[in-house]
Amino acid sequence: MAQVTIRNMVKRFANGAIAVDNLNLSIPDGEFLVLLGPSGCGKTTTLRSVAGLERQTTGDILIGDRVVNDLPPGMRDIAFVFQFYALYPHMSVYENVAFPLRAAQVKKDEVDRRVKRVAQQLRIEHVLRRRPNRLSSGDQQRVALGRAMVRQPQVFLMDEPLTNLDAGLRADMRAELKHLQADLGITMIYVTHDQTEAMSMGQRVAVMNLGVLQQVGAPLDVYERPSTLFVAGFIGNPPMNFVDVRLDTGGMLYGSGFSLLLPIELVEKVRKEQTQPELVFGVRAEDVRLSNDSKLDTLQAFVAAVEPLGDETIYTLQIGEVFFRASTTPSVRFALGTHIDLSFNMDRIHLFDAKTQKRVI
Amino acid sequence: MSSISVRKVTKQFGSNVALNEVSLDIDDREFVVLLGPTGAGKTTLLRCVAGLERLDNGDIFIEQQNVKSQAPAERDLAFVFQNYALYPRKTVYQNIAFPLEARAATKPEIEAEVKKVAEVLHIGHLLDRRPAQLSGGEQQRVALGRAMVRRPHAFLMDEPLTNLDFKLRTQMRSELKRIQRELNETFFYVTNDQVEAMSMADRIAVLNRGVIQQVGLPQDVYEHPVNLFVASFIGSPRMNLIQCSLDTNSMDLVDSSGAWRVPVPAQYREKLSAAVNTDSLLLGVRAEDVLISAENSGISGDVYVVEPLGDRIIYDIRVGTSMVKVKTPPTYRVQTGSQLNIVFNMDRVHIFDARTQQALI
Repeated sequence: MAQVTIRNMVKRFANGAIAVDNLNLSIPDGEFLVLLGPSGCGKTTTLRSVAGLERQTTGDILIGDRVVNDLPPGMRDIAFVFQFYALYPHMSVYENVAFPLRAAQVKKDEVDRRVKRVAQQLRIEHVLRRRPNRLSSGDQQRVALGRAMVRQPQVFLMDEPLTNLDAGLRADMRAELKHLQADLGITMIYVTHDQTEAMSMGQRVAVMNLGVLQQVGAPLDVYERPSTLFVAGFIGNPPMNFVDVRLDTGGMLYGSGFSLLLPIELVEKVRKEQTQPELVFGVRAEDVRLSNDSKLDTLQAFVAAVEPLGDETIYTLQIGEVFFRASTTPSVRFALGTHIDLSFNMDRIHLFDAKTQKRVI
Repeated sequence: MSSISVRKVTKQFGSNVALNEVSLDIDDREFVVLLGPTGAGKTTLLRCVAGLERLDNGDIFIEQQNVKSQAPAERDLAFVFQNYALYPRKTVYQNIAFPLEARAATKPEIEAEVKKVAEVLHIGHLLDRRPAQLSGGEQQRVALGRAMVRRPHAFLMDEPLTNLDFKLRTQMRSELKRIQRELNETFFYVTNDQVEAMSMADRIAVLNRGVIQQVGLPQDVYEHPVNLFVASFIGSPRMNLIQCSLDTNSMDLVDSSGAWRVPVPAQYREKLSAAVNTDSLLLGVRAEDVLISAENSGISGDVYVVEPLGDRIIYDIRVGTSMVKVKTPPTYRVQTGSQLNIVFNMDRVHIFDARTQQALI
């Protein structure tokens, strides 16, 4: 396996639109990197450029130490997996895995050696004679992966391979693929718009929006310290609560119908950053606390909606013109239409500069 | 507003039985969600209620009146689909007013009605715009508004949120629930998304292969699924299902690999001793009901995959030949490959007969 380096990559389409804007990203050997973003953010264009299916306008792409800018896809030593389950139903597992080698006219005993080696790595030796439709979904995925591995690629590229599967199966596949990648030490670049998939699978997640790389980091770092307003809103379910606020000199945050006293150490941190006073206050649903216990630092809120999801309950709470979502364990029960007291886990709040949209604290 | 009663409805397409003696009562002003996978027969049932399909057998009552032989228009139901089908050249106002104009209402009547509807839907500020200038969620509201002004007996909705992006869908969920409550009308809503069903419904009806599996309050269906299908369809991650058998002497559940056993809680013993297929049971445990044991007790396993989701972490733990998903708060962190012990919260486990697929406790 090899590392992949993307240097100052720009992709401009014929109509002048910039799909990828000066991207710098390096993926170490053996890493599982997820490229995450909404449709049109440039993630697939980036992946296709690494694969050689698109030519970047400027910048370099390296696989290992080799600049591959001018190499056709077939010469780049990559495996591109679009969707799992694209197995040939009339062929045995063995033939499915051997297929790419036969197409490349590899000698028969070499084919046999390589198929058996891959089968051993993936623990599918016992199903080699079977047809794909006789396999469990997990084994089918292993076979699909085996077919990609048998060509001994340097890098695996995957573009939303789990999209067409139902929710339960997708969750199983996610875990299985992650395990295989780590077990085999594969270098993987995986594209998705699904933040749950990205968080659960990636060693690092690279978030893109409008062609610009927003943040790269370990999943929990990106979740806990999003560097831009976009990342904060894109990652997490339910989405992070945001309120436009103004910080006054006394350390109060004012929004419409909403005010909150910031702890002094946070006020000092904000002052150190010397931002302008227009900020966006952000707090995740699990960091909103509900009680019937009115205190100095609680806010009175109206229960506007209750959504029981089984393992948790999501409340929509109204304060003035501002709505907050709070997630709680199902044993916490507040009635719709009542008033409750709300507070925030102040260690875990976020503030962004409203103009630059960058993280302040 | 009206009640809807479906009595022993059967519908076949050729030899394919789409609905098999389906009975379901929807109370006046109730929000009932019909939940099931693709191909379950949900949309067929909705179309039967609407009068768009002929019944092969059974009856449908709207407000105690048998509508079996009534044409769709006579049933006075409003339909809201995924596609909004708004008139692109008309303004929002004109789109909503259209059904009233067709009924030859007077101008002041129309205006009063449109304004009232716009207020409930929070689209008063959009009345002069055209559909193309609206977001998906706003278009959805306009479509709903157009259905509302007709003052139908009930609203039938077929996956209306499917085309919206993830974030908007989450927002519209609680919005639709609020709207239903303010309108005080009967909603019959079809979806394959269990989160949508849990969060919006007064009651959920789970349908699979044309047969109603269970009808109940969301939290009840989640906590007391009557069979394997409901248990594994509702909840994310899917409920862990572990093959085991009952040792009738000790009243222990024994894992199929023989690697571990757990005692059946006292309150379930009597019920379980009456079970017939004691050699083929499935122990069902939700991921949040598996605890990682701090002491050296419990069932030992190793960490196969770690999925950090931000507000929680899902661990896939390999115990014997089974894989068990465990949900923990994000503060608990262990590495892939580590050994640990798990215990089940036995007060919240489920036991199914693997042959009949029915819940025993």
